[in-house]
Formats: sequence, C-alpha cells, structure tokens
Amino acid sequence: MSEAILVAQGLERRYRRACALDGVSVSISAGESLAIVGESGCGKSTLLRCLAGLERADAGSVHFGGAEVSPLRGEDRKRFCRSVQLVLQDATRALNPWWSGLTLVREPLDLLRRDLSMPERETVARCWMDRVGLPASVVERLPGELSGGQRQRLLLARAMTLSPSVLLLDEPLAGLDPPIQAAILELLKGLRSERPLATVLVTHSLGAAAQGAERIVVMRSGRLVEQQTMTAFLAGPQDPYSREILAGWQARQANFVKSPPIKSSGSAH
Amino acid sequence: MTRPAWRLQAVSALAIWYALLAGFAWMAPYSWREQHREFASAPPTAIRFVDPTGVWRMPFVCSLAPAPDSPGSYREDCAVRHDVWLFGRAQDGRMVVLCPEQPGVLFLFGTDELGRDIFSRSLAGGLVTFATGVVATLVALFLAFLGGSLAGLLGGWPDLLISRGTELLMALPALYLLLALRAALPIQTPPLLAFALAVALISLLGWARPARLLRGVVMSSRGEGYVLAARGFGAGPVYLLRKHIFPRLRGVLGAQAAVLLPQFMLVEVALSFLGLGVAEPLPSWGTMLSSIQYDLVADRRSWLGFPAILLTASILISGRVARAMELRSQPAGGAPRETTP
Repeated sequence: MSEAILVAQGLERRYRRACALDGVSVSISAGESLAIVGESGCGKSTLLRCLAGLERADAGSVHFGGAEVSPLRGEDRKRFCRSVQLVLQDATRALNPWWSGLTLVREPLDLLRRDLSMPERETVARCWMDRVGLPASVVERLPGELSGGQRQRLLLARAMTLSPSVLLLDEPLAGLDPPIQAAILELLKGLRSERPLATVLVTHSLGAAAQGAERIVVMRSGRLVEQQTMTAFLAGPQDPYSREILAGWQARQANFVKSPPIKSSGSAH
Repeated sequence: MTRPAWRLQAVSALAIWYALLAGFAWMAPYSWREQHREFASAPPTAIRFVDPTGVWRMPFVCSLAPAPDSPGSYREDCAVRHDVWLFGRAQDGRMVVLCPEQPGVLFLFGTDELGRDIFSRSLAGGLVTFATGVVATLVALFLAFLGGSLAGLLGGWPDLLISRGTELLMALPALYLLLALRAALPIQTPPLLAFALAVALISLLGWARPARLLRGVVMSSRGEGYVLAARGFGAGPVYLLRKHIFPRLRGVLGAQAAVLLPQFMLVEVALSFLGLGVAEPLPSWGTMLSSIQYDLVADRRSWLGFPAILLTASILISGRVARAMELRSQPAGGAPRETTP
C-alpha cells in the first residue's frame, strides 16, 4: 500500500451531550478508495468535516502530507483546500439556489485559482461539467431547475475542478434512484482510474460501499469498530456489529433474488 | 401574471405616483408659501363648463370675491369668466398644471386660514413627507444591516448585546418613546433641523425590527450547506457575506424598505400632526392635517383633509410594492427545501 496522505489520530468531538467522535483514528493512502459505513448519527459526517478541516475536533489531530491541518493559514491552508475536497451531504442545500450551474462549478476556481484568467476558469468548469455527464444546458440553469442526480453531478464537478488528491463524499447517493446511484459510483470509479485520487465514501448502504470501495471502515456511536479490506470484510467481519449489518444486507439481497426476476442489463462497467 | 411583470408593475406604479407628485409640485399653480389673505379659508373653486346662459364653453372659473355681508364666505360672479388652461403659463412665466386666466384664481382644493392653496401645498407637503420616509428608511436599514450582520456573523457577546438592545426597543411602545424623545429636544427649531430630527428619531426607533430579521437571515445562511462548501474552498467571512449572504439580504432589504417606507411616512404624519415633526411654514401632510383636529374646522372646512386622500393612496401603492418585493426574494425553481429521505 502506498503512503498515507490524510491521517486522523484520536479524534474526539462532542456536541452538548452527544458524543459524535470518540477517539477515531483513520488513515487514507494516496489513490485508495475507502468506504465509511454505519447507522445514522454514528459520527460519519462529523469525521468527514474534521478530515476536510471544516470542523475542529475537541481532541486529536488531522495531518495532511505530514503537516497538521488546523493551524494552517494563508497559502498553506489554500493548498490544503485544493488537495482535500469535501462533497457535502444533501446536494440541494450545498448549492446556492441563486447561482447558475457554471457559476457554481467555477466558485472553487474563483477562490483558489486566481492564477487562471476568467475564460480559463470557465473552460475548466465546462470541461468538468461535461466530464461528469451534465448536459450543456445546465450551464445556465439554477439548482432548483435540476434533477437530484444532476445536482449530485454538479457537486462532483465542482469538487473536481481543483484536481484534489483526496475526495471526501458525504452520502453522495442519498435520495437517488438505484440506476443513478450506480452511474455515480461508475463515474467515481472512472475518475479514480484517470488520476491519482483517493476517495472516501460515507454511506449507510453496504451495497454502495461494496461497489465503490476497496477498503471499509465500520463506525458505531463515534468509534471505529472495524477496518478491513472489502474482500476480507465480505468474507467474514471480526466485530459482532459488523457481522450484524453484513448479515442484514445479505438477507435483503437474498430477498431481492427471491422476488420475481428483473432482467439485468449485464455487468456494470 | 408572471412574477417579473407583477414586480415591475408594482414598482412602476410607485415610481409613477411619486413622479406625478413631484412633477405637479414643480408645476403647482401657486408656491407652497404664497398667501392670498383676501381668500383665507376659501372652499374649493369649481371648474365650470356651462355659463349662466346655458352655453357650453371651454373650462373656466367664475370670478371670486369675499362676500361683504358675512366674513369668511365667498361669492362667485359667473358673469366674469376666466378661462382655465391645462399646462398654461402663469404670470411669472412658469409652466403650471392648471392655469387660470389673470386675474382669476383657482384653488382646486380650497385654501387654509392663511389663504394658501391646499392643492399646491399638498403636493409640496407630499414630497416632504415622502423625503422624510425615504431618508428615515435608508438610515434605519443601514443601521439594521450593520447590527443584523454583526450579530448574525459574530454571534457571542455582540449578538447578545444587539439582540437584547433591539428587544428592549421593540418592547417599548414606539409612539410614546418617540414623543418623549422629541419632547426632550428643543421644540422651537428651524424647519430644516426639525426635518433632520424627525428623520433621526424615526430611524433610531425603527431599525430594531429589520435588524432582528436580518440577523435571522444571516444566521440561517451561515448554516447553509453552500456556505460550508465555500469555506471548504478557503472562503473568508468577507467573501461569504458579499457573495452568499448579502444576495439573500438584498431581497429582505428591498421588502423591508417597501414595508418601512409607508410606516415611516405615517409616523412622520403623526409627529407633524402633533406639532413635533416638520414645522411651519414647511408643509407636510402631517402639519396640514393638524388643522382639522378641531371639530369646528373639520365640520365647516372639510377640504383641509384633502392630504389624507393622497396619504391613503401612497400607503396603498407602497403595500403593493412590498408584496412584489416579497415575491422577488425567492429564486426561480422555488426556494430550496430539505429533501425528504
């Protein structure tokens, strides 16, 4: 395995009474794909926001490329923002409803790539919108006029404009139809095959995790209960809670198999 | 009706209304300070089309003269006719809306006890009331913007201070506070200073409500996903305020301006009505209406209440604009709603 680029050590985070993170350590290597699964409220989103440097942990530290993230200021902070991008949960709220598609995708470039001229920034933004499969008409549409899948693609395009080395995705598949979920996972896979990009996919669906990641981390009430490669995890998890969710998922899969067959369109690629 | 059309219609209605007011004030038959002592408290002059012999003619007014037997009443002598011209030239060469042929007089809405033309004074007074409202609204919104965005962005003790301050202001009955403050200041002031005082008092008492509203909008935008996302792109507070928060405030500010303007105009009218606002001889709808607070006058010289009609119309049009502004503060495709899982 290649070297770890984003490392969290002993993260703790409390909100009033609830404890969102309780001593979480996780490391992300260059180019790998990691899935973080767990039930709602287990601290997945908090962990991602801490990794992205948007939230400060009460204890513990996040290191990027050997340097601690929270004291970074000025140019160093910008370099970190360029390298680690978070795709927020709930695409509807993560897009300014008054901005057109192009302006939205261009925003990170406006903030972090002042070295590019405006036409260059627009070209980059258009390229990425095209790459994630958005029709050209989205350029001037407002988020309210887009479908859920298009909004999610817009978020992806926006994060990718900076060519980050780590992409943190918070529930990118929530609220989407299964074919669109599959398409988004395919898109992520495609992006990773083109460039050195590590993805961290937070999800509560084991199916999506199995499809979209090589390594898995299971969280429960603010703690990591299991860290495994996906194959090892599917073969037999160590932790009882992991076994429980795997068994639950397999049972649902079995139900699908039993229900009247739907013609599958062959293996996704 | 589509949203932009409706907005345009309402805003242009307001613009046209005040443009007419300003234009007519500029072309008023008489100056707001011109006194016709011989025609004190004259009733509205009738514009006639038929002469005593029953012949139709161009619009004219009859010659007006004080009745010798009973002081304060006037007699029309229609044997002497004076033609009335629309947009004619007055004696001094000014362009005038309704111009009677010399030496005829035309008091469209009568005169007050000093013989000043109510029509001309209403137009000029409307501008004074409107100017008070506009300046007070601008000052109040500026204060509200400062207070609201400071409280909303900084949180902590600045928020505590500003929020409790606005609550205190709102808990006190505004009109009494206004009267008390105004009474504490010198009553006899030059007209311009009185105008400035009225503006200052109205905006100082009026900024609290919009400030609370703006604070709420700033706070809720601060928690929006797209603001968090922009922070992820390294955005600082100034960028966030300018790019993401201020555009949301703009709609609120517009709507608040449309709501506050008629309110503040009414407050000015109330202050001047009580003799604490704009001072004579400067006309305002409030000072003009103050003369009808005596029942005898209201009974016998009802034409003194004419500014009330203009005031009502102004408030109604402003209400329409407020509604249009409210619609404007929503993006196309609807405001973002939380998706249901």
